[in-house]
This record gives sequence, structure tokens and C-alpha cells, in this order.
Amino acid sequence: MTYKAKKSAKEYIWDGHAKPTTRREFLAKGLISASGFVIAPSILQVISGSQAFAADLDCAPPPSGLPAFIVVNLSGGAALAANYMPLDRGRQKLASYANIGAGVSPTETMEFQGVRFPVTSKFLEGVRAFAPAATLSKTGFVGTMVQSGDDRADNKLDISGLVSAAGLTGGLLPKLGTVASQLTGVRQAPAVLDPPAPLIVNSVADLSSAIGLNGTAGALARLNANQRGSLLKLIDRLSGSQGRQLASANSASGQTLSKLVSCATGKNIELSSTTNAGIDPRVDTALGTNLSMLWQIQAGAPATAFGRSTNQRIAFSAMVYNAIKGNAAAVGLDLGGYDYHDNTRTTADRMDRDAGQLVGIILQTAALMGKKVFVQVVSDGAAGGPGGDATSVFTSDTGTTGMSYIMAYDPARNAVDMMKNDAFLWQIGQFTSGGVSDANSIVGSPEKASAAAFANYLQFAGLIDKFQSIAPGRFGANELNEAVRFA
Amino acid sequence: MSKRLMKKRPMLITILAFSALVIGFQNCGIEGSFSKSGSLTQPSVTPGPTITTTGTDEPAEDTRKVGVNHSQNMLVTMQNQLGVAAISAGTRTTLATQIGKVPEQGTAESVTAPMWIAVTQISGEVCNDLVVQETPVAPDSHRIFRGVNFQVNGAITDVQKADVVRRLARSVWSRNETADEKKDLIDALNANFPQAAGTTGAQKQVAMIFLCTAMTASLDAQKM
Repeated sequence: MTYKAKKSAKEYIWDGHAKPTTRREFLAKGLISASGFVIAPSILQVISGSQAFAADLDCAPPPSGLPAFIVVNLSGGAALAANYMPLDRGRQKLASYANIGAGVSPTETMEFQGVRFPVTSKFLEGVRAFAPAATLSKTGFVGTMVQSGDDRADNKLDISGLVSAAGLTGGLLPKLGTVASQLTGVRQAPAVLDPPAPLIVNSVADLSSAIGLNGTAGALARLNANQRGSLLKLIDRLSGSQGRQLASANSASGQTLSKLVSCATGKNIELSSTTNAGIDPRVDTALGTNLSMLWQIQAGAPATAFGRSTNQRIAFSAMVYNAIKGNAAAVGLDLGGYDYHDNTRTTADRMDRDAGQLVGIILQTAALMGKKVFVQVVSDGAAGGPGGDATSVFTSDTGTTGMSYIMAYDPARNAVDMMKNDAFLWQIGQFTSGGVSDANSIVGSPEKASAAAFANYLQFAGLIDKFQSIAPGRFGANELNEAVRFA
Repeated sequence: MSKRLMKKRPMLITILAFSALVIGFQNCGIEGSFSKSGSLTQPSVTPGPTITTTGTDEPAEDTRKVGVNHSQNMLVTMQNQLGVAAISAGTRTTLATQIGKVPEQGTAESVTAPMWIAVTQISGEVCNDLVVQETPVAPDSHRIFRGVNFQVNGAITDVQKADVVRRLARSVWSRNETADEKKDLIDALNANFPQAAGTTGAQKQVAMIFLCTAMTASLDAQKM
């Protein structure tokens, strides 16, 4: 008799198999716990940077050392390069930007303390509409020049798995996303590491039902609310007495486990019995009004703003709020409709401005909350056309002119201090003289560009020393220095 | 000893040692046989040893580094502990939505409130699968819910409750329950699921899911 263990979505299910006989097989099948401690004691390593509740007696979560991470995916191939000013290897302007629809020699504007944009950039216009100068002066910007596949969801541009491996977890919620059919929660493939399964969010209710046993589905829905509450209390009581036995033994990890389990099970009782778990930005005691106005989700707000319906804005605001607050792990926001080469420029301009407004709102949300945030803007390919100035139309996909953005807000630092002042400036990779992203640069593929983005996230978080252990073999020392643009 | 036996001596020693260790842990792992298709079938003839509910165990002291089940082994561990042959679609769905809250490494420091909710949800599903598995089987042949008849109306007796607690303790905690644990469990069961002659099979199922989930989602079932 034989069987095969199946793996899907990190699931190991015993589906008929030869009985395990060796210690290794018992370990692999998780039978060690049932077999007791004699056969194979488990020795586990401590993960640094865990967001588990602290060993403090009051169970307060430890201060987060990791900035919130939010990816905004413009699904379809946005003309990000036309909203930025790509530079060559020497970090000089190109001879012409007409091929990307920005004109031969576009008039420049500067933002983020010295980064160059064409004055016609609708994305930047959108950012500025909601993030004031004070916020943008504390926001660093990095442009990454990378080609990517047009109109496809398999570009390895999602780094949430890497960010998770670095230790970013949520105090209440897991990774959040908006596309149920995608492993990453957005229409991009994972780079290097698969992320934890995302909670797909379409409303605040999706978040509240994920906390405690509120709104539970499945088997435990057969219990009524009182019975579910009693269940959590019983688990807390049993685990508490079992934990005290564990803690009384001469084991530091046992004492830690006892305390953290007690905090966790106690917290779940609290969360399941409350109607305000602190996940809805609209009822934030200090900032609710300001956040509602910022996101345009107050009573009487317009039905549509920055391309989003009211319900979508509420959902997005809650996702971003919880990420910045530390309640949630990485967040992915997928914006559809960016395959906008419809032989006009008006659609692209409107949607680019919408994307910029969303990013501006995210940055300003972080500013209001006084916390750091790292925002990555990605897209599958790009849009292009016959070329010309900023009124020229987009008629086709042109993934060769692809790029991505990083914007990182730190309330405690000015952008000029956040960024390296060297030959590479604020850009990773470069455009060729032919006006396309250079496939021979250090970020010649989406996965390498993602590795670079992750390196910058770690640098922003003060954890760059973790890079080689989490994403080994991606860059040599010189390349890593070139890839990391934050100081 | 023949040359053939000499060559097989290391394997024989391993098998004997392993057998001794397995015998030393009663009621752990899965009872049953493997069908030709490879799926585990519920025993229909051998219900397992009679378990006395007198006497309790104190949890063994542990001075080594301890952790908890993690995303890679959580479901299969629960499945093995409870002897669930087949995981339902509902369990798979819950696992897919909850497993993101469970860290990939089961260190003590990785425990969080969302993680323990995931443990509770997944435990609930596996316990439900166990109830579904045992429902059509003769009550006296149930491995865990011995004597509880889910197919007719009638109260779960105090003897049956104690027996189920003992069986669950030995399956998921690898020991007998303490007197305090037994009292907590029975009191909670009685408070939330009062039994009467008219108690339906479905109501008894929910009561047993409650009991099973509480024990499977407690620390001793999850620690490694």
C-alpha cells in the first residue's frame, strides 16, 4: 500500500500512505507530538523580528520595527515611465522622451526633494492633490526601470512573501489583498518567496469577521454566539493551566510560550466580545474625522472619487489604516483597467491621476498617523503609441518601457536625508538610448527588480543585514549597493 | 544466527525499538487499517481498548525548548491525533482562509491572537469531520465519542461525557486529563449544551464539536 502526501496551499493532508517508520517520516507527518517526547524532541530556532505579543506581562504587542508595506498594482500595463523622467546609465536625461509619450524635451518639475518628473505627469499631479508638501518632503522616491510582460499576472513583481519572511506580521490580521484568484492578492506573481495566504477584503466586514470568531463560517458556525464565547473562554482556561505547568518547568521557551498563548487566547475573548476592535478608520478616536475626509468616506461623500466607489474607498481605507497601524501584515491593492491604450490619452491621464491620488492618500494617511509606510507601485508591462508629447495617444502595450515606483514616508526624516547621494541617484537600472528599460542592468528582470525593491524595504526598515539570508544570490556587493537607494 | 539475519539485524533492532515505543503510548496515532485505495478506514470491528475514567495524569515536566504546531504540520497533526480519515471540503476551505495566520515556523515567539483563532477554526473543522465520520458508526464502536448516538434523540450521559473527555485527552494531549481540566470541560459542556431526552442527534454533534475543539485548540494539543 502506498500513498502520496499532497501539498497545496501549504497543506499537508494524509491521503493514504505507507505508514511512517523512521524518525524523519514521523517528524514530516507531524506525528511526533502524538508520539510523545521520547522519539524525537523538536528543537526550533527563534525568528527575530516576530510580531507576536511581547513577553511583557500586560500582553501589549512589541513596538513594530517594520514599516507598513503596501503594493498598488495597476493591472493592465500603465505608462509609469511617461509619468516619470527615466535617466540613462550616467543618470543623464535621454535625448528624447517622445517614444514614451512625454515629448522630446519635457519641462521638468521636481518632487520628493529633487526627483525629476515631467510637469505633465498626471500621477504626480494626483499625489500632490492629497499629500501636501510637508508630507512629500519626508517621502523618498525610487524609480526602477524594468521590462515586464504585458497583460499578464505572472510577472514576479510581488514582494509580500519576502516582506513576510523579514518578519512583517499583523497584530490582528494577516496579509490583505483584493483579488481572490491570486496567491498574492493582486495580479502579480510572487518574487522569490510565496506570501502567506491573503485575506481578501471587499469591505470592513471582511476584516471584522476575520477577528476572533465573529461572523465565523464553517463548523463553528453551528455554535451560537454565546457558545463560541464560551469556547474561547474554555480554551483560554485550559491553555492557562497547561501553560502554568509548562512555565513551571525549567524552560525559557516554555515560559514564553505559556505567556504568549495566555495573551493570545485572552485577546481572542476580548476581540470576540467587542464591536470595535480598532480596525475601522472612521471610528478612530483621534483621527476618524480626518481620515474619513481624506479618503472621502464621510457622510455625503461623492459616489466616486479617485476612480473608486464609496464601498471600495471604505475597504481600501480600512486595509491601509490597519497596515499602518500594525494590525495587518502586507497589503495589496489591485486597480483594474490600466490596459488603457484605447487610442486616446484622456483615459490614461484620468487613471494615472487616480492612481496618484490613491498613493497620495496613502502617504497622507501615514502622516496623519505619524507612522512609516513603504508603498510600491507596479504594473504588468506598459502602454505606448506612435510617440510624441504628453497629448499623444496610447495605442498598444509596450512592456519594454516598463518600470515601477517606490515611495517611502518617514515622519522622522527628510527625504534628502533618507536617500543616498551618489552617482545612481534615485533610480535603479536605466533606460537605453533607444528609449527602453535596459534588460542588461542589475534589474534586468521583474524578479531582480523585486529583489531590489525588497532590499530597499529592508534598508528603510534598518534591516538590510537580513537581505542575503532571505534572498540569497541575487546581487553581489557592488550590485546591492547600486540597488539600495535609501541611505 | 544466519548471515541473512545478521544483515537484517539493524532493521530488526529498529523495528523492535520502534514497536516498544509505540506500544508505550496508548491511543496515540490512528487506529484502523489502510484500504487498497490508500485511504484510512474507520475500524468497524475493533473499537479499541476500554478506557477507564478513574485516575488522572499530571502533565509531564519538560525542560527542553518547546514550540507549537505550524502551518506545515498543523492539519496533519490534528488529523492524526483525532483519527480523521478524510478531510472534508469545508476543512480545506477553512484551512485555505486561515492558514495565512499560522507562521511557517512554530517557535514559541510566533504565537499571536490571529494564529490561535486559526488554530481554533481549523480544530473546529477537523472535529466536525470526526463527528461526521463517527455518526454512521455504531456508538459502541466510536473511537472518540464512545456511546454517543448521533442518530437518535436522547441525552449524552455523564459517563459518556467523562469517557469522551478521557479519549480526547489521550488522543490530543497524550495523557489523561487532570481533575481540574475534567471539571472545566464538563461544566462548560453542561452549561452550554444541557442534555435531555429530547436532545437531537444534531445537537449532540454540536456539543461534541464544542468539546473536541476546546481540547484540540488548547496548548497541550498544539505544543511540540
